[in-house]
Amino acid sequence: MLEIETHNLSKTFGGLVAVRDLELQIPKGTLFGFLGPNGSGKSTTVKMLTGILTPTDGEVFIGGRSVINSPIEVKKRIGVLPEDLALFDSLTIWEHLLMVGPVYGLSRKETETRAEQLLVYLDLWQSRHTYVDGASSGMRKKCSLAMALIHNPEVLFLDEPFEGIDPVSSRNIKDLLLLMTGKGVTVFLTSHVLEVVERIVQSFAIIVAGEIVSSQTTEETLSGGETLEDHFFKHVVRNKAEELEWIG
Amino acid sequence: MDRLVWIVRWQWREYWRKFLRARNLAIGHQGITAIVTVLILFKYFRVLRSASVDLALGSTTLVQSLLAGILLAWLTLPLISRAGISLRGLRHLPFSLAELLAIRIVSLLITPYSWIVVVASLAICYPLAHGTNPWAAVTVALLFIMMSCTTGLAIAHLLDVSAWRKLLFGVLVLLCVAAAFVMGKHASGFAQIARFMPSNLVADASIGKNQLLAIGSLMTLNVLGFAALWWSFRQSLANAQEVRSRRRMDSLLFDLPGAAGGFAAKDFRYFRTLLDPYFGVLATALGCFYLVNSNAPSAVVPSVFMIIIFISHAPLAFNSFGLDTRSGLNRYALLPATGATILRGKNLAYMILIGIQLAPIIVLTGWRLGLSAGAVVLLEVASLAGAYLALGNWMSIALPTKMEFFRLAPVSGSLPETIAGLVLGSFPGVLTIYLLQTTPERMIWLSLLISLACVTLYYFATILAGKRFELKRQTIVGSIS
Repeated sequence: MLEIETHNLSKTFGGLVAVRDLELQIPKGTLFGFLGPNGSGKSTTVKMLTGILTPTDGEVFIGGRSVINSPIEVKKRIGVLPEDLALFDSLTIWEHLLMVGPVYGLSRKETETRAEQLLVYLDLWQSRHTYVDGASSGMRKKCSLAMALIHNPEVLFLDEPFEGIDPVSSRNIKDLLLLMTGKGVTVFLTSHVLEVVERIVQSFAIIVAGEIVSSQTTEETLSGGETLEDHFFKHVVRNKAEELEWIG
Repeated sequence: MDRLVWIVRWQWREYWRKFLRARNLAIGHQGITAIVTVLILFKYFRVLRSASVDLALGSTTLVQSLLAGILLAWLTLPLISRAGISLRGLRHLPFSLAELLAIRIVSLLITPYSWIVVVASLAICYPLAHGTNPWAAVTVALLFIMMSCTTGLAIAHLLDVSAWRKLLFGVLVLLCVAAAFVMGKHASGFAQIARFMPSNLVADASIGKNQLLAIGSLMTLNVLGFAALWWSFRQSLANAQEVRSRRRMDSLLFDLPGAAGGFAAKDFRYFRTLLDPYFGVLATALGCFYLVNSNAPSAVVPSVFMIIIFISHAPLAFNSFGLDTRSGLNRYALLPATGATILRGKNLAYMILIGIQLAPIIVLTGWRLGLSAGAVVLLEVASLAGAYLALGNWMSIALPTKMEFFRLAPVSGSLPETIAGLVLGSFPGVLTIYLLQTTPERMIWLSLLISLACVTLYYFATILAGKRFELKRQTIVGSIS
């Protein structure tokens, strides 16, 4: 059964084509990696998949429901760690969780119980009363992740979940993602940390300049005798440091 | 020096770019705002001419009022103007504290509002030059303007520091209480104290009285002002690095039920950081003072205070997304909440904040004028709230503009719509006052009818505004970024 499905998904900003004719079919319970260099269209795609951005063309379905036609229903079923974390500067980490729980239909008691467990697991419990504008980038990211998880979503979208996270929390997040996919939750993540992605994702796609240039399972890549990094750089051009002659 | 000029040039460029990016110099009806400003300046220059005639005749009353107005303008200017490039960002560059302060002072003068204040301030020299000792008067006036500027900046910096905000608010309340006490019991004593106020010293110097005292006092005040500015600037920069935490107080609002409850708790936190609602606190204090002390209080006066309190909270109703950020608005989009739910959360926060200020007046009205008078005031509040929020939800989406914490807030992105909003929003209150004077016997039923109409208007307007918010979210992000 397909959990995430897109057909001819495109987004243009003025004359700039950010995403062109994207076709994705991700089965339920998959941990899917969406890779690409900066500005390739990863975050734009995540925004369209989560209903933040309206596509210029094409369709998106999450669990068989159209994101464009039933945005509220879809948002109830998904959890999102967005690129900008989408936090309110003048609320504490704890208050962020208290605020979103009831929006997903959780009772106050259930929200507090889940919030406490999540914050303890993500090593945020001691700093739960810190305002997010005074929190470190890693703490902010973990706060946003906890908000994505609190309602036990069926589909999880994570934009760069490991960036700026300490090794212990990073390991905890990886374990949690594997546990969730084992229980049938679909995880869609973007990341630049290819070593980590290689170890946890089951399938991936590489997007360059708004178009998917490669899509396969991790097993196919590794069985071909190459690492995910090797495969990535077959499709993405790298500049040479030697060209910066004046440095050093 | 070159580096400072360079940074200020970029600040200038950043400020004007918003008009260029919108490809519209008339964005937010700037043209109409400019016309209104020119008319006010024209009127001001006519008043200056009258002041010069008065001064030649030895009367300083008008000049004193104008100087007090200039002081007020300089005190509020740093609270409304916004530097394009944040000083927090500049701290990462190799600038000394003195250089950063210089950038702060110069950046205050980038906005057209500041040019108006500068022109109006310098123009006061025209009537002063018609006094008996023009040179002394002009010197003292320039010292007065400098003192006003440094004091305004120092207060703005201190408002960035939590402990100082509380202290300044306490001092303001104490000063108001002391002024009310002295004016009520010892009016002659108040006049004696007022003689030594800076504006009065300048006015006296212009007619040849106490010139040395005026120059000496204002030079001392300038030295103190600069010292306060330097110290407060350091404090505000240091405060930016503090990690703050919170465990109590308005966190209790997170217990409010439903999805809108959480939003209301968050927005209450935001709204109470603006300075505008504190004018409402002063109005409440005055209203309570009147109701307690008056021998035969009028039924109309509480209604007038209600309107004043709603006007002081207008930015919260008419520009309710002004304190949100791109990140916060994206969070709204991620959550399974309709636009109407988000707006109701904001409206609930607004009603809690304004309700705290209205409650004492309603209770005192009921106590002093009877339960029916209290009920009329309560119904007036429902009418005003319905009208303000129905209009406000539409304006918040159509004309959002950026607001900043601990500053005076722009009511909306457009002057004509702001005026229209204030007039229409206050209309139910004005109607209540009119009916109180013409048909007091049927007041309860008429008030009930008006409030029902306003609440119904609010209900349908919010549903429409909620749908509009879902469509316009990206536009709002652009307007407040």
